[in-house]
Amino acid sequence: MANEVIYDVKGLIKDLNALEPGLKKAMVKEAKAIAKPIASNIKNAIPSIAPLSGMLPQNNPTGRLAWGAGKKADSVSIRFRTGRSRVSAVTPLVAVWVTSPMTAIADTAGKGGMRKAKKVTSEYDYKNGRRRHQVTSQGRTMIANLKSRYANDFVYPAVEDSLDDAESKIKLVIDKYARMVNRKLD
Amino acid sequence: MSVIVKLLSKFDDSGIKKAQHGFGGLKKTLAGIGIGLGLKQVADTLLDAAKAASADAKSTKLLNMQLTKNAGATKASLIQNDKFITSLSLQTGIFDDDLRPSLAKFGNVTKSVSAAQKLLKIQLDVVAGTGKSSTKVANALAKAYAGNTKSLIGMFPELKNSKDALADLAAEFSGSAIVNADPFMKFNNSMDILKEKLGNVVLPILADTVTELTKPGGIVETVGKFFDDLSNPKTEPGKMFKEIKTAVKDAFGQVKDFFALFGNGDAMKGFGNVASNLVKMLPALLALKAIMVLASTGKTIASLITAMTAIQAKSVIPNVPPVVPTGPISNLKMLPMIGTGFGGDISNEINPATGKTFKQSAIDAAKNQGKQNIIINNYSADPKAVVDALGKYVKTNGSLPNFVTGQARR
Repeated sequence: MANEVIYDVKGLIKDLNALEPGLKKAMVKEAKAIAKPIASNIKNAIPSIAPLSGMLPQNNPTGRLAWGAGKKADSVSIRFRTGRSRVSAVTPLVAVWVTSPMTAIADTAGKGGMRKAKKVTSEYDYKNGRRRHQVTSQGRTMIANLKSRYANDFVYPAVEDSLDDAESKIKLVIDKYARMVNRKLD
Repeated sequence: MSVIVKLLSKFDDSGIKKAQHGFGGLKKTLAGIGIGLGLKQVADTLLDAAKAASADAKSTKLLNMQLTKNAGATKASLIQNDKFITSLSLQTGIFDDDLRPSLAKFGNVTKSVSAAQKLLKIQLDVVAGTGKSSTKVANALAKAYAGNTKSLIGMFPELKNSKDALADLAAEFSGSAIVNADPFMKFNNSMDILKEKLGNVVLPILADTVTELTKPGGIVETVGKFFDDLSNPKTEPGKMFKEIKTAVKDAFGQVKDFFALFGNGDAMKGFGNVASNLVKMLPALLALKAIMVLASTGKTIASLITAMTAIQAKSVIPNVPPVVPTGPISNLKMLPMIGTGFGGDISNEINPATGKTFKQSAIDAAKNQGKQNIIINNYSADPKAVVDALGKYVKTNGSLPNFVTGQARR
């Protein structure tokens, strides 16, 4: 799992651009190339058809959460992000994103504590007002059905073993470009 | 919703710093618009706490990374190590941020978290016990751990014959750091640790607050849009603002025309004439107001006479004869009232009936009759205050003096 933390990436990118325009692009490209096998492993692990009939687009024609609705179910992207966060000081620099909503729901289903749900939700904002709603057992049924078909938790198991290797390789890429900057500065 | 598989992470606290900066701005705004000093102080404290927590997080992250890499620290040992640092810091009064670099250095040499902790303790004890340079002691200890005791023996020659230099050194200075800890520094350090803990709670709230303020449709955007609309005459608020401006302009024009009537067409001259006449008439108007107030509230006749006398004593309206009271003027000299101001302080003016000042007349009268003076210092020309003062006198003494009660009774 990703343990490594890189410091002052923004400074490095700034120096790279100052050193030679295009170096940053090359660094990002190299880093993303390392993550490509991981992305393709994840892609292969995502079920090609909806694991539950209720997720089929034909049974759910207008919903945004049908399998592959809006975004293909096996949409996977590699992101290199240097932007800041207002919430956390440590954020992913290179990450693989599974962006299809229903795929993400199916993958994370059942990973929580499964604590006893309240019968009614807390109040929340809704259409210029506030409301609460009853909690049904739909979610639990979905999780049980996904588990019985081994159709949940497919993203991490597919890549778990290769994460550390990819992490060190990307770190080496960053170090390589950092050395370029240091050499120039010396 | 997305699933994110992290491959490599980065540390960048600029976002949090921006949030802190935003909160700093909020603090300045609060001070600017005069919202309670207490709230500003709270904002100051929270901002400091958030800063401390951010710095502490960075320093901890760095140490953890080094210990993981060099000493093979596990998650559990990192948590234990953090507790060790906090406890050592509290005992010795040395800031945790100063302890972490030394521990990282020892971790690098010993490749073990527990050994690094032991060396750090020895270093602190030796420094506290001998006053030697912290860096030199640390370097010597690190070398000694690796088997090279030359530097350590150079510093402590008595260790020359020692079989285990580190153990003997540790035994010699054991507990010195805790015994010699500066209580003031210990207190400061405890406060610092508390501040960091508070900051850990505050940081996410700060981030949320700033997000809330700056989110689309949030306060900053809404208020900003309102100001934009005001400056645009095509929008509703803009139209209204324009109407208000026109109304103010019209009203000002009418006022200008009004004053022009008194200045042969010149508004400024007219205003000057009206103002100077009003100023001239002011004492008379005040006296008139006093009479009206007294009459309407049914207060003392004596006060009414005083007011009349004030007007009579000095005519304040040009070409208008002084008002002469119809009652016996001798009553006035008996009136134990000093400094009542209807149109001004009359206490030092000559009472035409006695040829003395009103003040002296009143004092003499009181002395002759063995009575107590009622002294009223009223410079605001407020007759109500006179009546109140008399009321207070009555409350304290039961009644007004006999020579007054003939004419004046509450």
